[in-house]
Amino acid sequence: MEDTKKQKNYGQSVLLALLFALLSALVVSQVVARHQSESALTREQQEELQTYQSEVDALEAQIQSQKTEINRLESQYDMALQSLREGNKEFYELYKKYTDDLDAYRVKAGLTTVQGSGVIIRLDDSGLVEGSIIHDTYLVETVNVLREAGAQAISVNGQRVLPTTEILCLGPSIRINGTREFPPYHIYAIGDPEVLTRAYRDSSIYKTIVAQNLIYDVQTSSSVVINAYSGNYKSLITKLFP
Amino acid sequence: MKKNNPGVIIRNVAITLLCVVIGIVAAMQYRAIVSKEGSDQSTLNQIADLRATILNLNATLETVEMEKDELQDRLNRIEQSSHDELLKALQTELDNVKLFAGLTEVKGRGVYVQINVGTRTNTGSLQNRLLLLINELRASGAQAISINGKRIVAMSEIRVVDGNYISVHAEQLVAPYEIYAIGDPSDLLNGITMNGNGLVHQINDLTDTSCIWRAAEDIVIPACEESVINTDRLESK
Repeated sequence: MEDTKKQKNYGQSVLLALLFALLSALVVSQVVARHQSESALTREQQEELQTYQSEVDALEAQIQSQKTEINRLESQYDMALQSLREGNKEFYELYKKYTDDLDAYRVKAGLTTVQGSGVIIRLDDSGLVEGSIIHDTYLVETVNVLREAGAQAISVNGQRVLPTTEILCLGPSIRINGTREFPPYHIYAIGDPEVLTRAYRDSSIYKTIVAQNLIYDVQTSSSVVINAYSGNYKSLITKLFP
Repeated sequence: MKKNNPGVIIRNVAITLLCVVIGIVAAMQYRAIVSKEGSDQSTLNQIADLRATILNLNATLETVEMEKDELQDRLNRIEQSSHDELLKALQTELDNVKLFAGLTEVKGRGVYVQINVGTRTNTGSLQNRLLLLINELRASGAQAISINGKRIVAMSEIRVVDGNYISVHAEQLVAPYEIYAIGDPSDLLNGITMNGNGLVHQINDLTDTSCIWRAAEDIVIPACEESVINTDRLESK
């Protein structure tokens, strides 16, 4: 009887000891695993962040140096103009007329960066509904609605809309001015903000986008900046003969 | 009999301790997961923001570089060219810019598409297909496009009002709709026909609507009226 009781107590102690051992093993392994995975993840992300941050810094430095160069060239150009005016007033006037003309037509052609009041529309694939994505035709129709509402300049993801601009589905991306652009799509338009917004909200394409549970956002802005076409426009007039 | 057995007390204490420890470990684990999720999300947001910034900065750099090159060209010309050369270069550039903007009548080879509509043509479907047809011509390398003699430029809207007419530059154009595009004829034809499943077929398949298309030589596409391209809202940046 005593023996059996002792044996039972002994058995229970062994069980407890085992439980303790198991628990401590669990704790140690969890702490180790957590520490490892956390440091691996953050290290990877930190590296990614740092790579991007240094890329941003490098780009900003490049832009700044280009701007410094532009300032230098501008003052040089002003000096050249000045001496032209002093040397030959008549020719200077003629030159000025030609360059003013050229500058005005460059604006009409979409070859200069412009700003003005307008709208910024953001369209993105639905994160909720499988297969609910922004199709090229949605962008084509959106751009057409903005044109109809009197937009004077439009860009899609920074690509200036030109007479030759295509908006074409290319796998998960959309080709615009020969460049692949990925969602989200930011459509910038300069024009009367109220007219543009109303026209867009009343359009059938807007209703489609809402019904498809796509992500959309329409904002008016007093200062929309639309980039110049940055490609070589001369490659887009090779088949045209006056 | 059993109540003051030290073995039992020790076991009870041990079990209590075990429960407490398990509780603490579980709580720690939970907190760790919650805080890690939070930090992951903010890091991911930061990364996404930086990516967007990089795209913007790249675009800005391209335009700034272009601006610099132009200024350099202009400076070189004013410093090095004779007066005649200078004006001639400016005139050539002006001609090219106007050509690109669609402000010059142009000739070339390309394609011709004619769309005939009837009373039962669906307005919405025709609107969509017509926009996509013009888009497809552009994607296939069209450099100049006209509909019923109206030059289609960057800001030209195309609106199907009803079965009888469409509106371009707020002007009514009556059916049949005749589209000319200048570009490589076979590229343009391939683009709009897509081996029998192209936009011209889709338009042809619309109720009460027909479409014909062919390559064309000696196309003449008129200039866009200057008054159509408004820039009064555009300030230079």
